[in-house]
Amino acid sequence: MRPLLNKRENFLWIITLALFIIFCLSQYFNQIFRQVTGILLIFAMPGILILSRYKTEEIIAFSSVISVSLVIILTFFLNIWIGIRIDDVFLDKLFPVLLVGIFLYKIILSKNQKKTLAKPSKIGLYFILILLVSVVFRVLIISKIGTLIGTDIAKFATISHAMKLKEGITPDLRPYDLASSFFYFPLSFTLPLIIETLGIDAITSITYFSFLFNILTIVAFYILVSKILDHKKALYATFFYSMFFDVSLDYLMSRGVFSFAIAFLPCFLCMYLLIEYFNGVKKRNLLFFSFLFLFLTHWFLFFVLFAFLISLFLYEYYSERGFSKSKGIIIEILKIIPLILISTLPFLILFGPIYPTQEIVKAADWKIYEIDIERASFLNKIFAIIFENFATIIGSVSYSLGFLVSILTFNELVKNKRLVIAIFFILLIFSSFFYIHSITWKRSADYTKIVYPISFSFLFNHPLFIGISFISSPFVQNTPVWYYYNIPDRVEGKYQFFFDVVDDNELKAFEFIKENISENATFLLDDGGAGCLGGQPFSHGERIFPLTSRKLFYFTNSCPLKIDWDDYQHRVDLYRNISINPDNDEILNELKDNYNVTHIYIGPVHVGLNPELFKRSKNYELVYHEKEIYIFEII
Amino acid sequence: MKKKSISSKLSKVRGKWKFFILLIVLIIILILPSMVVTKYSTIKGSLICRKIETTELTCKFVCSIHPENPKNTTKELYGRVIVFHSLWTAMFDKTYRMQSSNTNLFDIELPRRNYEYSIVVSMYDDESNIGVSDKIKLVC
Repeated sequence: MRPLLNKRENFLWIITLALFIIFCLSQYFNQIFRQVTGILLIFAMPGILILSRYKTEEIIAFSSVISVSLVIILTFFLNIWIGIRIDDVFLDKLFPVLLVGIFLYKIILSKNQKKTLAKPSKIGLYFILILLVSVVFRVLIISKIGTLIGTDIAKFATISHAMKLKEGITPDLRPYDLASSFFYFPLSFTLPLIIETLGIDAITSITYFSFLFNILTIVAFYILVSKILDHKKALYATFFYSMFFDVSLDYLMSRGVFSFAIAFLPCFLCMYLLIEYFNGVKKRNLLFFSFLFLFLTHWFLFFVLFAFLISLFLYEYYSERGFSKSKGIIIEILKIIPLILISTLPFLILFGPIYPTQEIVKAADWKIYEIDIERASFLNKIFAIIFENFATIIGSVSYSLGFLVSILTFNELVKNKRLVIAIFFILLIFSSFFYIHSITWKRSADYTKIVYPISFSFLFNHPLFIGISFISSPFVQNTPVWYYYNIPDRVEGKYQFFFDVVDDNELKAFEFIKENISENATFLLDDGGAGCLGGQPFSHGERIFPLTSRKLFYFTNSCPLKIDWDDYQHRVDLYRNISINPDNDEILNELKDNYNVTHIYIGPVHVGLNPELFKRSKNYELVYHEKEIYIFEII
Repeated sequence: MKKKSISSKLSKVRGKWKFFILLIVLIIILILPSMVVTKYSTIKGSLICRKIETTELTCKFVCSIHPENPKNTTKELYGRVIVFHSLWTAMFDKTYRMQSSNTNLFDIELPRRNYEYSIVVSMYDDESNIGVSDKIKLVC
């Protein structure tokens, strides 16, 4: 009789169980052990156990996608439906359920499976080198910026921390935020919430898992292009993608649009699996998890998949005068959709009925931010689609070159299976134009850039070009990896809309708050009063809540959030009046009595709250001042 | 050399036509959602602001907007006035009832910071018509 698990699988199960035991016990002796083992169990082991018989590069690319999807789905059921509280020992309850489930699944699979899916393959040395270089650069960026910063980071760290304090996934964030309900793609707040139970703050966890997924996106890109290009060209394309055309990195580094950035990983994986299906290789489990992960992360990239599907249909019709494979793909996707809906049912039932952007007030609010794009000239829109990247808004040198090279090498792109990519490229350029009017759909303009590294691999497929690109890139503006690495030097002491970094002084101020200011304190700061897209972090004080649990008089009006509109506008008015005159007794009393404001936080960049006016006043006592950071207590 | 029959040539031509028709249909399917997700502005309105007073602490402005709402059957609409101090951070945010085809006036008082604020007015009515004024600068 054949054993249920092979030697390799037995070994993996022993490792996983050992990690789980260390994880449970470490809460009594070492928090760091608990965090490390917890992270491995959240991001790696469940996926590795499921994929133990797949190819190595598939294990690398898919493990985290599967692990995180399972952890999030199980959290929905355990917390929302069964009512198990999200607390410090929540994962101790989740992992046994998850591991037993995987074990049962493996037994059922083992009975149904006649052969092993694939022998473990060796991953190429050159690919490892490319991956190492990419990882090194990203580690350098993290070490320089510390943590990501941006609207989305502030918004979702706040949401996740509010849920942590409320001990569960809930759309009602009061009293920690104005939102009485909201709707957003669930990974953006559920994953940091789960990691918070390990004692890692939401901002740090978002930074690190975003970069982890960014690196895995490079692996996903490699396995995708390996299906279209020969091995050598696939390596070059991956190198150029990771160093010059990493759209996902653009989104991470500009305003921390992390959930959208992460969605490129499942998007590339889905594209890879669709090609595999087209070639007759069915990997239903992987397709399900990739679609599920995309559903959990960000729905906009389903547009890319849709365009890619159409490209596959057209390619099949052009080459084979039929649709038999395409029909098979559609049937597979139709089978997956109900499973995804069932898996996310607790989330959909709880958050689904709330979609505040449908309100006319919100729609008008939203319009404020997209009017410039709506009124952009034809030429500006074309430029955005072809040359710009989301981060810099101005034309990017690498993207301009990418487009030029794509045109020059278009004859290569239409050859053989690569015709799919050529059709995809044309469809994206064409369709982007119709979507670009809206600020959020403007992102469609960035999808075309996925093709540029593939085109680069046709022209620059010699090691010499890698050397040249390395030497020249520090001198080229808007070349993603170098550009982002240099941001902290360029923005020091200056407020910039797109690129901003946190300096250590702010973290020192937050430490001071934790140690010296009451847990019941509420801070007024310069960051609130934003429009539909959410507060632009300005003085960076929005991190006070997720990092110290002290409440903010922070009146973010983000479109996905449903808030009391009158209260929001009244808060903006109070903020304006106290900015004009900190000694306005009527306003000050209202802030103190009705909103429990106890402190004023003024960061290095300020407009409304002027520290000089507060210093002069008798109503405030300066309790902290270090460099350009001021904390006043209301007397 | 073997000559191809007219019918095979025709079938090729038909095949190409089919392909192009299919291409057009699929492209239409691809761009169709853009019509749903993009609501174009219907209400137009030109915004003008004038500084009327400067003190040690504040600047006062009087602004006017003249909304034109061709699709509206009633003249009532709402005007949400926002003054931003960073790109998305509001220093002033109030909603006024306005009259279409009339000049509507409102006052704004801002903290004096030797700073360039920006002001914009979004207009909407009960019939889901929306419009946004141009963004203009207010120096204070």
